[in-house]
Parts: sequence; structure tokens; C-alpha cells
Amino acid sequence: MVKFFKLLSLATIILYSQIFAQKGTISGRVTDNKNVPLVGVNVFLKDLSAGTATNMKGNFSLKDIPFGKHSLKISMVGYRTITKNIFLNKKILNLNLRLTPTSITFEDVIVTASKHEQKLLESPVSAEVINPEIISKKNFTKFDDLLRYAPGVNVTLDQVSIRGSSGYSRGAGTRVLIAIDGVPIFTGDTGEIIWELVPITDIERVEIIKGAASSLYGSTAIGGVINIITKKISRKMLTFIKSYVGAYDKPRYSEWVWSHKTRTFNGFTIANSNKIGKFGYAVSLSKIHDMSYRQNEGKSRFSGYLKARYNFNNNLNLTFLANGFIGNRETFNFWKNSREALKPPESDIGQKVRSERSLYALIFNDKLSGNISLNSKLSFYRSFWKDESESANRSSSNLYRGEVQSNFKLNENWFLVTGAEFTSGIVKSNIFGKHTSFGFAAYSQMEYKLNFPLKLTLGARYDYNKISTIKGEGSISPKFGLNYKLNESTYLRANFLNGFRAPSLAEAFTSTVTSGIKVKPNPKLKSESNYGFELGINHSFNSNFNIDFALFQNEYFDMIEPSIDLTDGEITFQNVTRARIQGAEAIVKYQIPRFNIKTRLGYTYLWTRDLNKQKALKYRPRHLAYLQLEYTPSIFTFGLDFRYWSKVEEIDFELVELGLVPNGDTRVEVFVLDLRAGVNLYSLSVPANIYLNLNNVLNYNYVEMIGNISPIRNISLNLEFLF
Amino acid sequence: MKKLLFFILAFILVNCNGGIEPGLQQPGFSGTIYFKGEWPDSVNLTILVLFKNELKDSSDFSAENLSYVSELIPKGVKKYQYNTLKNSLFGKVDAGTYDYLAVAQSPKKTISLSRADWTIAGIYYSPTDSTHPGKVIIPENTFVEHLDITCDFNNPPPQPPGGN
Repeated sequence: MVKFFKLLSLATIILYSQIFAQKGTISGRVTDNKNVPLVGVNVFLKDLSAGTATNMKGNFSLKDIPFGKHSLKISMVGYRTITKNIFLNKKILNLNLRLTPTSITFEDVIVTASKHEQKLLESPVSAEVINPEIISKKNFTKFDDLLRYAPGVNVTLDQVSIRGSSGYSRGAGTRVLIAIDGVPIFTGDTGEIIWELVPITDIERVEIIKGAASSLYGSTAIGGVINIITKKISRKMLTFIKSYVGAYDKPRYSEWVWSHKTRTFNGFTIANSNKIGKFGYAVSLSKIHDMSYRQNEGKSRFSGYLKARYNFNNNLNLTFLANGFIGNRETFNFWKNSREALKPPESDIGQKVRSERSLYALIFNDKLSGNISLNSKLSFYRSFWKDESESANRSSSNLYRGEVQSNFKLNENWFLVTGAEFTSGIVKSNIFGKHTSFGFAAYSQMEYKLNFPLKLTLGARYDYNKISTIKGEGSISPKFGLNYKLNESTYLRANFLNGFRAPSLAEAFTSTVTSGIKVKPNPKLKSESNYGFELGINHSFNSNFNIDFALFQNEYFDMIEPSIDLTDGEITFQNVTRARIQGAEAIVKYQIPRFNIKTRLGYTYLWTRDLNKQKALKYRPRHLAYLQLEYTPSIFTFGLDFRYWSKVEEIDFELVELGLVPNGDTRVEVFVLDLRAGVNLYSLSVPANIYLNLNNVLNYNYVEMIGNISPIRNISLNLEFLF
Repeated sequence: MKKLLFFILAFILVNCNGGIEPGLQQPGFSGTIYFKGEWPDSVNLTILVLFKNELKDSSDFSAENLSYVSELIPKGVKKYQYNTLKNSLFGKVDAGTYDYLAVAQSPKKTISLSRADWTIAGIYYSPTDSTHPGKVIIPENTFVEHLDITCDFNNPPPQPPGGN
């Protein structure tokens, strides 16, 4: 008997040693629930930290894998991640895997709300995640166009507002912080967002935080944060080519016809990503040209994007981000009058601006242990623009920024985020002058999970900002939030937030004349601040029907707004407003899987008040509604997008009364209906998608900013290859 | 939910008209004034004036008869583009027929309604008749362009009654 056990033990050892000595291949195919192959799916062996991505036919192959048990993780944005335990005991193990789309209950993970990964549903603040498919499907060529379809967000020309935070300040300053991979991208001179800088084809997802986020992000986050997360570097060589062409329809009225040429637009992007050993990169180059539907508004630009990463080991990596563009844009400030709405005044014809903007960042991630991680960012944003008309206005600015952040998971219940950052800027301009700026901040946020289950968040940030000759100001922004999981399908959230915003150099020091409008400096400008609260609930009736509802209120003090000095008719930025913004927001997501139909409906009610004048705040619609409907039979996709903004009550009436914008008080409610169709050819072994978009189908004419008709009906065809 | 979607789509179709429209054209006119020869040193004010009725008597040079006065035309210019919707010092041009459009000059530094203070430097003539002042006809909702006037300082036009 003893001899038998010895033999058995020996045989077992031999057998296992043979198994572990041998290596095999794990291969397979990943498809969706309609059997359409999925490209770019991450296939990862958790135990070996080895992985790959599916090719254009949905196939993958992992070679030289030791025989034995392994844990395989298959993931892709928009699909439910699956983890499969496999046992490799032969040369080739073939798997057929199927991913199902995520249900509309929030399974998203966000990093922006608390500067670390957390489930969207567990966030104490209202947040929205936009996945990148919509960028291709709707052929968005500029990032602000994407934001026009996010519930609670509205854009006035190029200035974004979350829940009524901003009006229109002629490109000076922003109340929403926009960041690429956590690196803010406001310019050093005007403090504005240059949307062309966002690498629109390299986006993994967009996270929108609604409400003041100064307790973590500081000055410009007084109205919220939009963080653009770039695509991960592909584990295998992946090339992406996109080309589109489009044309504007004729204006609805013959009076508005100013050109008998078809006004076209087109663009081309080529991108490549690969990983070689410990080094990986993603690079893209783009060119766009748009003749525009308006006279003297043509634009063209070349842009480039590079993301390079070196993994020292599984816990330590360094990422270099470089992103920039060179562009020429003709200038359309206001229409000539409502009868010649697509033409500028004669005096503006020939005006154009050349821009060169570039952002460089080094991002260092170090997982010091299972519980502590360190993240450091160093960035440099160079901005240069030159008005190539008579005025010859020009400005160059360099903005340096650094941040060190540590995340410390004390135990299962406590999580601490701590960080410090600095900014330093230099501006040289003939309209802003020569100035420097400096800022320093330190922040800390503690999260505590109770068992019942309630999550408490408590944090604060101290900021000190000094802009040129303006007296330096310090500000403390506290935050208190809670998230309570009532049951598996219902989450409650509440928060109290405090924010502030230091004036931008442009707001304090601009001195120029544009289209007859003179802007004068106000070096006495001081920071504005706000506090507010929000109550929210998210409930899933089932996996196909989800509703999110929020009530919010914000009180603003010393709000900086452009206003006209009636003594000389000149515009200046002033701390003029004590304001209140109250509102409610509902977002309904509903899908009928049987018919491949998905829909999203968003409605925001805004009550904005200038408490000094007892009037609505300028350029804030009271009602904002959005509808998105998508039908995806087989390899096809059909979509409908609709947005409605009520007519804004308050505008710059002074510009109209002074005759600077003839018929400038002409404005209406906004009704925009877009239709789209697409076909996914991957299942036919062609690595391509084709999308057709018909925007502003009703050829409805409206203005976001007075004297500026928004894009008229246009059609575009977009072809994408991925191989 | 289906009903809600149907309601929304119906709302879009029912409520959505064309949005902003060009609006009715404000009546008015525009043109270019050409100046030939050397400007007289004595001139201090130059304006474009529009009278409803012909100037047959010095009493016709009155506020009742005067329909429009342009902004001051800079001294010494060779060419000046005017537009009644933009360059108005006085008056608004309504649709109708006007008998006399002219460029008037004065040595005074303030505008007066005394006929004696003014010299006519140029008159608008219709393209087909250069012997009589041309009538300016502005139809309803119409903006008339190219009502050009030439002021030849070496060959001044006939002066209406009442001048020096």
C-alpha cells in the first residue's frame, strides 16, 4: 500500500511537471450578441499580466502560455466585462466568447468625481459618462459639438455651461474646467478652452461632473469639470483611418444666399497605436477644412497627438502626452443684419486669426503598494494667436502646471486623496499686456464607507492665486457629500459644494476694439465664488429602464460678467452680479433589447437670477431637453438626436441698442433635429464603418449668441477603417 | 414610454417652424458721393439732405419738408459711402417719393435751418435725366442702392431759391 502511494505520488509529480513545463496557445473569437465580431477587445490573463486585443475579425491569440489554470478577462467599453477561468492542457485552446452590451443601469466607472476610480452610482455628485462611439456615429469634428448633446450642458458659440454656470464672455475665462487625462487645458492668457486642441478621434470616454468641483480642481471648476480620457495604447499594432466629406445646404431664405458655390467641409485622420515590450504609443495626425455656411468664416487646421508610455514594471509607468494644432480661421463676429444674416459687416471681411496651440504633459503613476498610489503631472501649455487683419492683435502665453497626488486606501472603509499643485503663467500680448500669474493649491478628501451602506465624502482645498498687479487672493473650498444605497436598484446622493474662480488675465487686462466694440481693462477685478447643494436619486426599474433625478441650487457672489459702461459705451468685466441658479434635472434611459432600440431623454429646468437686477442671467435658457434614439438592426445603425433650448430671456441688449449688432435681439427657441445611419462592415470581413449624418434636418435657424446663425442643414459621409 | 416618444416627436413637428426669418426690409437707400476738385476752405459742415418736396422757395428749406440728414461728411474726402439706415443724424426714411436729394455745405460750425447758411454742392439726378433733380422712390420694404451723387466744386449745380 505504501509502495502504491509512492508510485502514485511520483506519477502525479511527473504529470504535473510535464503540464507545467509545456506551453500552449489560447486563441479564439469575440463577438457581440448578434454574432458581429468585435475589434479591439482587451483579452487579458490576469495571473500572468499578459494580454492582447482582437483583430478586425474579432480573433485573438495568446502564445507561449504555460499549461495550467488561468483567469481570462475580456473587456471592451460599452460591453459587460467577463472573467473566465480556463484550464490549458493542450497545444491550442480555442474559445468562442460573446460580449453583451452593458445594461443602461450605471455600470460605468469614473475617475473625475473624486480623482480615483469609483462606480458612477457611488459618486456623491451628478456625473455623466459619454462613450466614444457617438463621436464616430455623429461625425463630431470639434469637441464642443459633442457637448451640445449632453443633458444639462449648453454651449453658447464656444463657451460651455453646465447647469447654467456660464453665459457668454467673448472667450474670456471659463467656469467649467476641461482636462485631458486630468491635465487642465485652459489657456494662460484668456483662460478659455480651445476646443480644437481636444484630440477628438483619440477619446476613450468623457466624464462630466455637474456642479462646483473647486474642492478638488480649484479655480475654473466653479461650474463643473469635463475630463476627456484618451484611448488606451493598443497591445497590438492598430491603425485607424478616418475620412469625411460634407456640404451645407442652401440657406432657407433667398435673402441669405451670399455664395453660389456649394459650401463644403472635409477632414482626414490617420492614427496608429502599438506596444513594443515595455514601451507603447498612440499617435494621430488630422487635417480639417471647412468653407463654412457663412461669409468670412472658413477654417482649416492641422493637428497632431502623441501618447507614449513606458512601463517600468506593473506598478510604475511614465506617460508623455503631446498635443497641438496649427490653424487659420476667418473671423465672423456678428451678422450684418437679420436680412443678411450669413454675412458679416463689410468692415469685418478679410479678418482672420492664425493660431498655434500645443500641450505637453508628463504623467507619472506609481503604485507604491496595494493601498497607496502616487500620481504626478507636469504640463506646459503654449498658446499663440495672431489676428492677421488691420488690428494685428496677437498674444502668446505659456502656462506651466504641476500636480502631485496620492491615493491612500487606509482600509476597506477609509480612502484618502491628497494633493498639491502649482501653476505659473507668462503672457505677452498687445491687447492684454505683459503679465505673469502664479497659483498654489493643496487639497485633501476623505471618503468613509459605513456598512448600511452609506458613503461619506469630506474634503477641502486651499488655493492662492496672484495675477500680475492684482492683489493675491486665497480661497478655501470645502465639500461634503454622501451617497446612500437604498437597495440594489436605488441610490440617493447629496452634496454641499463650495467653489471659486479667479479672474483670467483677459478679463482683467483686455484692451482692444473688435467689430466696433471696445473692451477696456479692469485691474480691480476680484475672484467670484459660489456655494451650492444638490440632492439626487437614481433608480433602475429593471435592467432596461433607469431614471436619474436631481435638484440643485447655487448661490454666486461677485460673479464676473462682461457689461457695458454706459458712460462711454465700452465693455468691461466687472464683479457685478449676486446671482442664484436653481433647477431640476431628469435623465431617463430606456432600451428594448428585443428590438435593438435604445433611447435617452434628458430635461433640465433652470431658474437663473441676477439678484441685483431681478432679471434672468444672460444666455441661459430656462428649459433644455434632449432626446437620443438609436435602432441597431444587425450590422446597421440608425439614430435620431433632438435638442430643444427655450428662448433665452436676457442677452446683451446694450449691443443692440448701441447699433453694434443690428437686429441683434432677434432670437428664438432652439429646435435641432439630426438623423444618422451607419453600417458596420466588420462582419463582412471589411474593417470599416460608414456613417451618414444629416444635421439640422429641419433647416431651422437659431442663434446661440446674438447675431450668429448656428449651422444650417448639412450632410456628411464618414468612412472609418481600423486594422 | 412609446407614447412619450410619440408625443415628443409630434411636439417637434408641430412647433418647429423655420426659426429666425430675415424680417421685413427697412426702407432706405444708399450710394456713393464723389467729390471732384479742391474742397473750399470756407466749408465747415457737409451733409446729405433729403427733402420730401422740391425746393421752390426758401421756406421749403424747413424741418417739415426735411426727411433725412446724414452724419457729417468728413472734409477733404474724395469719396463717401452713405447708408440711410446707418449714417443718420436726423430722420428715418419711410417708403415714398422724395423730390430732392442733395449734398449741402455750410461755413457754419453748427447745423441751422436757415437756407442762407447753405450751398448745394451736388444733386442727385436720375440716370436718364441730368437736367432736373431726380426723384427718389422708395417702395415698401425696399432698400434702394446706388443713388450716387457727384459734387464738382469747379462746376456747382443750380442753387435752389433763397441762397446767398
